[in-house]
Amino acid sequence: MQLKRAFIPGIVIILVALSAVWAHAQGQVQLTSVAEVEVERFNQEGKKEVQRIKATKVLPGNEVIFTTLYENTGKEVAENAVITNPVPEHMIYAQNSARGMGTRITFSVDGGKTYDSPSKLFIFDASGRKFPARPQDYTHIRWSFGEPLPPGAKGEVSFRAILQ
Amino acid sequence: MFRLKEEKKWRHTLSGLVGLVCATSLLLGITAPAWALGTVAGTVIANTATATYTMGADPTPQTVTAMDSFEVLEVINTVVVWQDAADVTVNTPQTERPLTFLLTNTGNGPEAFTFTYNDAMGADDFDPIAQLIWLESNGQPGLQTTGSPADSVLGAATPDLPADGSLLVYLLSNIPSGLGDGQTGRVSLTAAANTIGAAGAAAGTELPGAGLNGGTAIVGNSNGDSEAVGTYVVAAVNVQLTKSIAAIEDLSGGSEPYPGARVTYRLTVQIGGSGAAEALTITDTIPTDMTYLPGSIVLDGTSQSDAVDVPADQTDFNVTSANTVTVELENTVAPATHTIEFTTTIN
Repeated sequence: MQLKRAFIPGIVIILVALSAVWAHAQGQVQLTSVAEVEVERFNQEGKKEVQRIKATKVLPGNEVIFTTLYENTGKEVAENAVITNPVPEHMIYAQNSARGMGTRITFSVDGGKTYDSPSKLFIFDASGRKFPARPQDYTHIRWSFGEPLPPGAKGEVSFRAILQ
Repeated sequence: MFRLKEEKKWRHTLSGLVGLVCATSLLLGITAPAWALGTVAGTVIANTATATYTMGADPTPQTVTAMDSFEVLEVINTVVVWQDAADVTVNTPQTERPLTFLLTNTGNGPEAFTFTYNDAMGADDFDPIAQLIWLESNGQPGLQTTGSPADSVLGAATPDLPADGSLLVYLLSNIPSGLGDGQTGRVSLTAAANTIGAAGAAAGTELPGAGLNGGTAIVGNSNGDSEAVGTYVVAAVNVQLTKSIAAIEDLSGGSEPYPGARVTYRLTVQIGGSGAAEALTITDTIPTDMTYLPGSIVLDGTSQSDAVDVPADQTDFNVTSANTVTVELENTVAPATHTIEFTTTIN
């Protein structure tokens, strides 16, 4: 299912790339986004364990895990790679939940105009007073890769958010 | 020899107070906090990730996106809150006195509700007799059972309330006769979600096909229903009148009731309970073998005239009623005591 979902936007990107710069079409990064929830289930040994299942219908108040899988399927190195993810509407970022090996994770509280680490983010009230930003103020999450992604490089970044 | 006029009027003194209570409840209704579970059922939540990168010497950023989405599940939840600012004052008896409740759909999908009530509760002094339920529908504060437009009598169920939507509900009860001042009667109102299987179900119960667009609905923490209790309190005034002879002065300086002796009568009016005695009038007709001594009426220690000259004073003799002392105490808020004295001569 995940592959199919990724494949369709992939084709679109290929077509766009074909009409633009053919050479670069061979060096593309492919992305797959997946939303999951955790459920407690009994495994084959009869023990309770937390499993992740695809989110289809979610109750308000529940936490959703958003994972973005990336892979450089081309033949060239992808440089200056950045993955950006707006926190979806009706959802609140779960504090300290963003993950991403080899990336620097920053957040935006201004709709994606500027990004910084949590301790350097502030919001202002109507009278101009400055407050440290809270997780519910985050509008975007950004993963900036420290190293170029060589052909075949793949991995995932993720965050959790709570449905209001 | 004396009688209380317009006795019935005292029993209908509290309509002004009722209006105030209803107006207060409307304010409460507007400011009631929202308990609803946020995002509306059926909303599609989409997450989009975007990667940008460059390749080789070309500085043009390449962009790729990926998206996944899910739908918000429907939760059925409700809360009912009694809205009257204080116990609703009633007379005894009284018909169709409303208690005001606020029904809120705290689920995240549209839901209609049905009602049941219990008017035979314990922990009170009397059982009101619940009659019918009205719904606020004409946008005017309080219950209007007449007029154009009036509010609406509840049908089988309320209209669909949207997520977070509220509705003021009036539960009307009759109040029995013969109750004492301060006695209370409680009535509970229960609203149940109209979705089949929701009312009374355990939190977390899944109702396949019962949700928005045929999806699954989940029963929330209210178990698909909610109950609130309202209280009536009897505010009955009672008036006690006692008549006594304050003094007798005979012609020889003694106190024997011979012809020619002056007899001073004292009427003591005690207004007890709560509320107000409205248009309270005390009358006392002079006996046939006695003659009223002109100008002798004294109300609470102050001499009064015999003419009808309200507001200068509230008493007269032989004007309002022939050969009768009349004292207009008008609207008297309980508790209060008034003393009336007048003098007659034995013929």
